Amino acid sequence: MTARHMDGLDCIDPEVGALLVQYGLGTLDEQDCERFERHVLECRACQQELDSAGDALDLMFQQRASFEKKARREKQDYDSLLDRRAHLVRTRNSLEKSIQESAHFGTQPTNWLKWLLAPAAGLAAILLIIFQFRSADSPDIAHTDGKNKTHRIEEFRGSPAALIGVIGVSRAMSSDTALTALIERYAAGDFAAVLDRTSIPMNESQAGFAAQMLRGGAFLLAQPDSAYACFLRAQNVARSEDERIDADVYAARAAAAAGHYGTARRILGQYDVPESNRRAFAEKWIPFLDSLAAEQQAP
Amino acid sequence: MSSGKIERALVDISSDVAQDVENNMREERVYQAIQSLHHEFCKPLLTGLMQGLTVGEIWKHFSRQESNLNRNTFYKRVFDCRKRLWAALGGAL
Repeated sequence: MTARHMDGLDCIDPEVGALLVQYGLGTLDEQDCERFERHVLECRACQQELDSAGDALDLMFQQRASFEKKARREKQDYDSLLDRRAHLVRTRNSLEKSIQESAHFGTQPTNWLKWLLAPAAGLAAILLIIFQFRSADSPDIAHTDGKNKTHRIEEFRGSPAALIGVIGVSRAMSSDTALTALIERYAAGDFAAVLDRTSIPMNESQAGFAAQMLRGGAFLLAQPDSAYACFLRAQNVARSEDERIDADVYAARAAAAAGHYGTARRILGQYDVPESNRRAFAEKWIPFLDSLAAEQQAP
Repeated sequence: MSSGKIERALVDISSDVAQDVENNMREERVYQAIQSLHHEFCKPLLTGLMQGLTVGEIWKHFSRQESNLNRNTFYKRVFDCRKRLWAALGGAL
């Protein structure tokens, strides 16, 4: 089962891919939200659609309450639209029936009235369809107030902007451009953007380390405890000794920034440094120890 | 409050207002784009979603109305409607 996307790519799971607008509006429950995010990380078609429609989806996400209110205020009520649609489906079915019947007229020469009425009925049905949809814009159309139920949840796992960011980071393994962009924003001090774009915990190991490190760095000044947690997660997903050392050095830095000097020393002091990485480790460790000492001497 | 603080506060307020206006205009463009979709499926679908209904609930409604509507066709229409919506928005945002 596939569904066409904008650039001719097929969605790998249309049942989940169909949730994109709901995701944009933030009305998915936690389980579907996670399903969708996992899906998007694997589905190139949905990634492309997110890329191209990201602004609109992000706006929907930011303004979701306002959109819903507006939809109700403008009387474009779902039930009345459904009623109209039901009428149109019936009209279309009768139109198709009349066309089918007209196809048999050649075998029924005596039924000459149908020859005249069938095209007229068809034309009337088409006009009715046009009229119905034009009139759907009229504010005078009667409507019911709907079911007044909402599936919105207050806490969202991530916004479209964040998801796009994560996709960018996960792609960075091949292109490096998205990760570079994030690093540039980090370097420019735009920590809020880094936190926003790495706000989804990445279950995949791909680029998880880089994202956690950036996220920890963004937290470092304001919330060192959160930063410490990020660096520990980075340590868990590190794929090389160098990455583990990086994560530990920064975890120790965050612990120190939070005033947990004992933790900082324990992290570094108990580290078993492989011979091959000793130089790299020392290069990072020494300035860090210096900074720790400076922090301790500071009043 | 010093004059510097007042100036900063005024700048903050005016930038907030400008942002609100900009957001409202963009929101209006999205809403109008949905309203402009004169399509028997897209408008109820997108309006229903805007009102907090799920795709699953909308599928139930539509399948009740069209007994011969199958899931594949439904999903194809959902994707098609999105395509129409993004096209209607164009570079408007």
